[in-house]
Amino acid sequence: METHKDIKQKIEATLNSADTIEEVKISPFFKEKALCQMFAEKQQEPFVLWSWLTPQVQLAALFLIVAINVFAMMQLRNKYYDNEISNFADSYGLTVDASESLMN
Amino acid sequence: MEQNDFVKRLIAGEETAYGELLDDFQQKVFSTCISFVPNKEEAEDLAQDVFVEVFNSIHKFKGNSKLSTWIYRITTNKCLEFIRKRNTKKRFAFLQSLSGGSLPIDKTSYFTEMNHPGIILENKEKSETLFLAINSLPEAQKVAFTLHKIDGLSYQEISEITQKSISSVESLMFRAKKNLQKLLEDYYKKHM
Repeated sequence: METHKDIKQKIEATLNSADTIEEVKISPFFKEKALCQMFAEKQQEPFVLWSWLTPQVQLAALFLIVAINVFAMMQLRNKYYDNEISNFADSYGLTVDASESLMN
Repeated sequence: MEQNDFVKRLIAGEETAYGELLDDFQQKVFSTCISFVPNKEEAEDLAQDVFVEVFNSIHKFKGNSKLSTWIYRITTNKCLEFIRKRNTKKRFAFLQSLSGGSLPIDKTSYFTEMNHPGIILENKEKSETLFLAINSLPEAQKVAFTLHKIDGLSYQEISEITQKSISSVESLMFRAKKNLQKLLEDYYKKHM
């Protein structure tokens, strides 16, 4: 019972401790530091020439480049495949020469 | 009208206007920051971030509210963002979601090292425990309680900053006090 009462008192005292917190004064050089930071950031604005190159544009460009590369790879593979088949057919005499046709 | 002229000077980037702004608001912004983040150095860094944010987004200020309310809103958001980031580093996110944002008081997982020169020595232990308990409250209750009890703002001012009605602020305060009592009860039961 006594403990319960103690706890209640402690809770009250803890909640009331917020009223005893005193104001803390800011550092005397805060104003100068803040002004410096504000105007320093203004001077470091990005170069206007590249301002159009937003992350969205960059992403779109990346997708386009990847798509072109994939398409080019597919095209190259098809060409190589056709060439390799022709070479194989030539090597084993499997080609049908137009001059050897019975129809001629 | 006076505020409009002043805002125009701020938008134009006049250094003297920002000097005046700092004269008027640096102490208030810092007081709010240290109420949320009880560490003098970190609160000053946060206050600096607030003024940089004001500088960068003053053109977005529509004049629907007072300039002071808008600055307080930025300050509160900056502080919450800071606390959120620090808390995420210290806690498991899933644990937070499971418990609905209300976690038991734990000194080891507090987001900063306490260094609040405004806390008098005889109340150090109690105030630290109170800050730990506040950190365990859901965000809306944390904001209402901190702005009212620690920073000393009125319900009217809190309602303007949080864009909630006064009755909502009162309700948040009621729930915050109730939750704090529960959290502190659990804490003292363990530490008696």
